[in-house]
Amino acid sequence: MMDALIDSAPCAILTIDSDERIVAGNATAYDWLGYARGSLDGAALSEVFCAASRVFFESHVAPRLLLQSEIHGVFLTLQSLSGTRVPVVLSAAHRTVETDAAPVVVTDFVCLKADARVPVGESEPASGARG
Amino acid sequence: MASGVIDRNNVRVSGRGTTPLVLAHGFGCDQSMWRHIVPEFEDQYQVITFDYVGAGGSDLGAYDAERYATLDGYASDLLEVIEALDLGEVIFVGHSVSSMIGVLAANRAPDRFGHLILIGPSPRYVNDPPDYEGGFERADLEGLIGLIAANDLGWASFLAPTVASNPDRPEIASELERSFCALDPDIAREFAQATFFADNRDDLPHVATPTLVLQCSEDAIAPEAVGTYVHEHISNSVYLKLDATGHCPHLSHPEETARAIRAYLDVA
Repeated sequence: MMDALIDSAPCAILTIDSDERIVAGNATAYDWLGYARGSLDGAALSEVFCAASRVFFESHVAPRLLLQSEIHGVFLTLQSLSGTRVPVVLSAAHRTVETDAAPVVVTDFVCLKADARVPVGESEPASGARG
Repeated sequence: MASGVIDRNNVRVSGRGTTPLVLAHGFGCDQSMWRHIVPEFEDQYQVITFDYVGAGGSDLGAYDAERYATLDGYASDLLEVIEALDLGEVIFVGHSVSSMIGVLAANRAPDRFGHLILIGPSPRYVNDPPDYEGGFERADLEGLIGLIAANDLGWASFLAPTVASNPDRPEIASELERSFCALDPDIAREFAQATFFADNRDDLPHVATPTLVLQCSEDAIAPEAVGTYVHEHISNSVYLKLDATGHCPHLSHPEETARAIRAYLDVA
């Protein structure tokens, strides 16, 4: 029941490892981003951000996450495989996962669509945005 | 003047050594981003951290839009901190935009800098075809300015008055006190413009100070080609690529970062 809810909830959920590589995503995330299910495994998180959001994430969000282990209510713009922009409000938190070796810390991201609050300057596609 | 600068930039000094090691934070955070690095060097160095005006515990009243319209104003702050503490010759470690702030300061006062250690440097973020690829189009970076505006309310220091009016929720107050990287959003926007539309390529060949370029793997802000560009244009420089990924190795991989800095300084 809960697994089905997490998979199809109206929010994109992505989990990354300590190298900012995607290790899991729910069906909604894959639907919004336009990738075949599972094909983002191992991809850099920056792949799913538009360019401005990539810089904002690395300069403002990543340091706070590393220092505080969580962050809430950040406006960012995801970018689908075809270049469609998906403005979201994002929350993220660290989670410790037990493994056969030492426990590892992953980061879970939950993104809600925020079409009514498109961040200024991010509503129009920028040239060369994919990279 | 001295105490004015110390307060203005919220300067902190620690450590048991005599050689000054100045750690300068990058855009988007404050000196708290050095919290894992400072203890690594306190046994051997006098460690100095500070906040640029607009960040952390700096004096927001000291902000002067004209002075800080370009990175030169921030370089002046750096030189004034060194002067105020009467540090003599320092080892400078700059992250991200502070790399170029350090370059500017070292070119203005070369006798004040024994070494420059540049983490994730970029002399220009905007592409300049056909010969230079900074990684971004101008429109991308203008979008960044919009994002900073859109996220105005997200930064904890500016939520403090709201907390004060919620005395029945003291846990929120303690949560906010633990917040890091407080930034004034208006100043952050102008700092972003000074940072991301700067072109410091011509400053690199003038650097005479011995320099270490520390490049991260898969850095979405300062790509590897940009790091090697910096290395190739500072004649007396050493280039080292870290295994650390991302743009903040001193936060995400502090042991490797500290080890790389120490290894460089041990043989320098």
